[in-house]
Amino acid sequence: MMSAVAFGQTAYKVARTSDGKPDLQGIWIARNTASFDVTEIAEDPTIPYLPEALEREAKADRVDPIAHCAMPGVPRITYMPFPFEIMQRPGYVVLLYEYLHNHRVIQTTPREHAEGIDLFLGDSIARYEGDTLVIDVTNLGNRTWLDSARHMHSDQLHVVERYTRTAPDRMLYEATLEDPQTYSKPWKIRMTLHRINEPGFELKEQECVEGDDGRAIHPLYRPASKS
Amino acid sequence: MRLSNVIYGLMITVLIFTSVPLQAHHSFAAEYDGTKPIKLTGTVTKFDMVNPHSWIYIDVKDDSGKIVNWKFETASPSNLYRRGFKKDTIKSGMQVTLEGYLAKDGSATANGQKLYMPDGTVIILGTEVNPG
Repeated sequence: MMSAVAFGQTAYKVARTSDGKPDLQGIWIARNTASFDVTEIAEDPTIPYLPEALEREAKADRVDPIAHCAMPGVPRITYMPFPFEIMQRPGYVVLLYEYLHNHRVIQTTPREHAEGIDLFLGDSIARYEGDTLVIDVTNLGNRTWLDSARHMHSDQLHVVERYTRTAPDRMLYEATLEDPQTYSKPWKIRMTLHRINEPGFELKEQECVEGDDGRAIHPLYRPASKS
Repeated sequence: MRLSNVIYGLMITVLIFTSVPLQAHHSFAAEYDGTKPIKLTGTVTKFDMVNPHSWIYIDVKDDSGKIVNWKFETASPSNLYRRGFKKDTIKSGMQVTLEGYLAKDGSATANGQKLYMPDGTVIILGTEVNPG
C-alpha cells in the first residue's frame, strides 16, 4: 500500500526552500484517467454516498460542466491530464495550471475561511506539516463534478489536500473529501504526481471556447465532425 | 466616399455576425439596451451568486395581474463579496426593488444596477455600465 511513510523509508530527503519549507517547485502532472472516473484513485472505490445524495445525482444534469468550459474545481484540477507548476515564495504557494489558465495563489498565513461565497476553485489556506504541504479548501459550491462520471458533491464539500514529495521526480498527492450532505463519512483519494524534467519544458496556453452550438471546443470534448 | 461606406458596412456586418457566438460572454451592449431603464419591485425567488456573473430572480406582477419571473444579471461573486454581499444576503421570499436596463431580446431579463433591500439599504450591483 502506498503511503507517505512507506515512501519515506527510501533515502530520499526532501529539498528545502530558502525559508526552510519542503521544496515542491517544478512542473508536475498526474498520469492517470481519474478525471474520467475518480474512483480510479479512491482509497475505497465505493464512494460512501448518502442515499439522498444518490437521488440528487440521478436527477442532475447529464453534461459534465467542463464540457461547457467551467473550471473543474478541487481536487479535479489536480488530475486533469495537463501539467501544472508549483512555485513557492515565503508566505505563498502558487499553483499554475495549464488547464484553462486556472491558478491558485494561496497564502500560508493562518486565517478563517471566507463565508458566504462559492468559487469554482474554492477558498484555499495552506500550511506546512513536516515534509508535507497541506491545503485546506472550502467554499467550492456544488457546480463542479469530481470527474466526467458524474460523481458530485454539495456546497458543504471540504477538501484537505496533502502534497508530499517522495522522490526527486515524484510527489504523493492525497486528499480527504468530507461533505456531510453527500457522503456518510470522509473518504480519500491518493495518486502519484510526476515531475516533468524535459529541458525547456514550460506551460503553454490551453483554452476552452464554447461553440455556438453549445458544445465546447475542447481537447477532451471536441465536437464530432459534421461531414 | 462610397467605398469607405461599403467597407464600414462590411465591418458592421462582420461585427454583428462574429459577435453572435460570443453571446455567452455577454458584453452589456450586446445584450442590454442602455436607453431602456427599468425599476421593478417583487419577491425574490432565487439568487445565484456564481461566476461569471450572479443572477437575481424576482416574481413581479404585471399590469394584467400575471406573475412574471424576471432575472437581473449582476456583478461577479468576487465583486459582490467585496461589497459585503454573501450568498444568503438575498433570500427567497424577500421583497426587493431592482433597477437596471432591459434586455434587447424582449425577454424578462435586465442588467441590474441597484438593489433596494427591505430595510432601505441600497446596494450597487453594477457590472459594466456601473462597475461600482
